[in-house]
Amino acid sequence: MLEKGRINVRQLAALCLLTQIGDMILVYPAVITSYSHQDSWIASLMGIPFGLFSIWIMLRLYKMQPGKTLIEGLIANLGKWLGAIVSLWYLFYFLILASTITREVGDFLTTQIMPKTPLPVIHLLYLIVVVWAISHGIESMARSAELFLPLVVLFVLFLFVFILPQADINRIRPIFGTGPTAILQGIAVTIAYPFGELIALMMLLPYTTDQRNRNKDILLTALIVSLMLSTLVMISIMVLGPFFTRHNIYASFILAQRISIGNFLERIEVIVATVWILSTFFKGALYFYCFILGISQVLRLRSYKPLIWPSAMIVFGLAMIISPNITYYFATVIFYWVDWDITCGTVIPLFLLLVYHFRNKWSGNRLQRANSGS
Amino acid sequence: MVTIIVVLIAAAICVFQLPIMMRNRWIKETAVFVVFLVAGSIMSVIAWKMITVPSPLKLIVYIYKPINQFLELMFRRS
Repeated sequence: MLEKGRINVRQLAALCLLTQIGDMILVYPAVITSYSHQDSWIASLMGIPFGLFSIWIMLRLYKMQPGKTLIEGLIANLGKWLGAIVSLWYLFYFLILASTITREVGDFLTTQIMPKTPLPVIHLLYLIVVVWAISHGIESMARSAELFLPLVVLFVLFLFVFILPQADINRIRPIFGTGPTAILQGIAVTIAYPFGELIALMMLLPYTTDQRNRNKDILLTALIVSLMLSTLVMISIMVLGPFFTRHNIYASFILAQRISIGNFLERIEVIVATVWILSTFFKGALYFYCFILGISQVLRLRSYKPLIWPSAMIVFGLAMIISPNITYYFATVIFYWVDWDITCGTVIPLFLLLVYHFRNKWSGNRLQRANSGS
Repeated sequence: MVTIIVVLIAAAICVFQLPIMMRNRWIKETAVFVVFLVAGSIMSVIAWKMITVPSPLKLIVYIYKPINQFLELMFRRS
């Protein structure tokens, strides 16, 4: 066993919640509104059943390969070579996600809060903390997630409540005015972003204690988070309007800037930024961990610990290489990123599940025939 | 200057990690570690000096462009 730590279901749920909120709490309204304008809250709500279905696929897939992570299951299921190729695809996904999240933190801080700090410096500070977290193993990470969870949820609710006086219901009209295609695109974004990126969960499931309510808890967590994100989308459309939401990448940051209660409660956007960096940290650290664990499992190494620092250097480099500027990945790549997320988060697990299903069926038939023949 | 700093950091990581791996005679782990460290050092230098190299995301764009165009065409017809 590469990872000796064990986490319980509550810690897994906390980690899931933080991963799902992750960077989405800041960029999700802008992304989904760029597709389906003022109807994006409808798209976000309509996407929830599909998203829960995709998580159900992941949990079902884990049931077919108990005790194995995604990568081990791939190699066991698809054979040595094909399994290794698909595993490399997933490892690339994890690595790029870890670098993109690092870059998002850097870009957010340098554009909104600390404009004169060079980008690599923020990446360096962020990655040192990530390395610190990973080198203590998944158990410490999950426990700290449990510790920080109330803070994150509290401040998100805080944001929701205090911005409500400025909401105007007229801004979401006309309802269903954008047509079915736009809403379908919005649903695709919902499946891809909060749910599809939870594929990292498959790497953690073998290290959780086996409790009966695990699947129910994970689905419930996903439902709560997606409702929170839908509320956020709705509020940001009602406060900022669809046009302004679409053209502000950091919509919830702008929302927090607008909070002003009785000339007393003002300028709380930095608190929102802190919460965002906290949740993004857990998301980034989780993908980084998945990458290291996955590569050790593909190459059958005896420990993943030596790879932490070199991989941190790779992520540090990739975070800058990945895109020349902020508009490249927010304006160009995002259309393909949705497809990529859906492929990795839903299509490939569904395919694997079908492979398991048919293999069991065929081998079962053969067994039956052999029994009846003899 | 940047190159020297990165090489020094890489050397420091080696000093910390290599003795542990050598003591256990982890040959494969050491090989992977060295490959990762070299790749990481090169990428870090590129990042610090802000040299423009093709982004790995171009691969994703290249793979998914036909699919996106196909979907767009399908939904525009209907």
